[in-house]
Amino acid sequence: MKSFLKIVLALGIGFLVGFLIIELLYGNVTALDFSNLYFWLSILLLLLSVGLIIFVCLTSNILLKKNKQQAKNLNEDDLDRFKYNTFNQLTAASTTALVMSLVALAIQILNAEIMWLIITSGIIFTITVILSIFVGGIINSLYPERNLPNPSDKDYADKLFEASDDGEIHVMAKGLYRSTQLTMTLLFISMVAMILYSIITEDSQVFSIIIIGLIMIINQVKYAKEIKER
Amino acid sequence: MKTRLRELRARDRLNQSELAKLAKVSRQTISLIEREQYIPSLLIAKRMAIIFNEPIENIFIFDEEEL
Repeated sequence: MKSFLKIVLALGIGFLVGFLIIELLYGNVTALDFSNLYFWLSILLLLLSVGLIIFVCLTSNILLKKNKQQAKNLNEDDLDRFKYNTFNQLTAASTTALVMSLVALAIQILNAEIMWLIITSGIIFTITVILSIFVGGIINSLYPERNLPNPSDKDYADKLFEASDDGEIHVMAKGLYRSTQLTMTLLFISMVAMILYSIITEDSQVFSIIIIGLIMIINQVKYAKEIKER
Repeated sequence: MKTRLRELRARDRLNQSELAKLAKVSRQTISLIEREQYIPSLLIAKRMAIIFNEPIENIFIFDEEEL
């Protein structure tokens, strides 16, 4: 997986550098019409969102059924492993669908004038929001004895840590640290990409660049504050 | 660190979930310990020792270099 991501990153950087060189040499690339690209991208994102919605509905149905039956054909350990892994997959799928549908909706509102597509995007986005809330609530059906907090709880993070044991916190900490490192790297790359995009297309992305910069700074300051020795 | 947890569970006919309930931890923690991806706290190690009626050193085996 790591080497695959490295290859993707190298390809991305290569593409950006090559694009910039061509643009500087010939200056004709900005004549490209991105609106057609964005239109098809939004269609693709909507289709993927619908696919993920179907996946989440079917999988959560299977999960809740197996949980109720206490999976007669699975031993206790395998059932627990299945519940844990399937719940993780559902959370990832519902969040991905939510983000994809939001991006598609944004593209439709900002670039296109096709009303039925805007409405469809809005409906799919609304479904993904409802689905995300539903998936978040499944955890208490899976582990009723654990008394886990609701994601909408005010002190969700603190309550979740209180309800978790050392091993679970160890896994969460490792996973969160790695994903935070990846997020910071990707935000930095996004910032560079937006600067290049602004220069090449003369379509200023300054507002987005500032927002990303603020997110990175706040994230770093928050982390330093959390781990400060008292 | 090496652990004889899997062997001791098989000896006492306990699955991970049952051991987890006795040790008052999650099944995931038992799985992490068995895969040697997590060194348990002294409290959890002591509970294991009581459950299996074995000294801690017989359940969790450390290399000389680790000590």
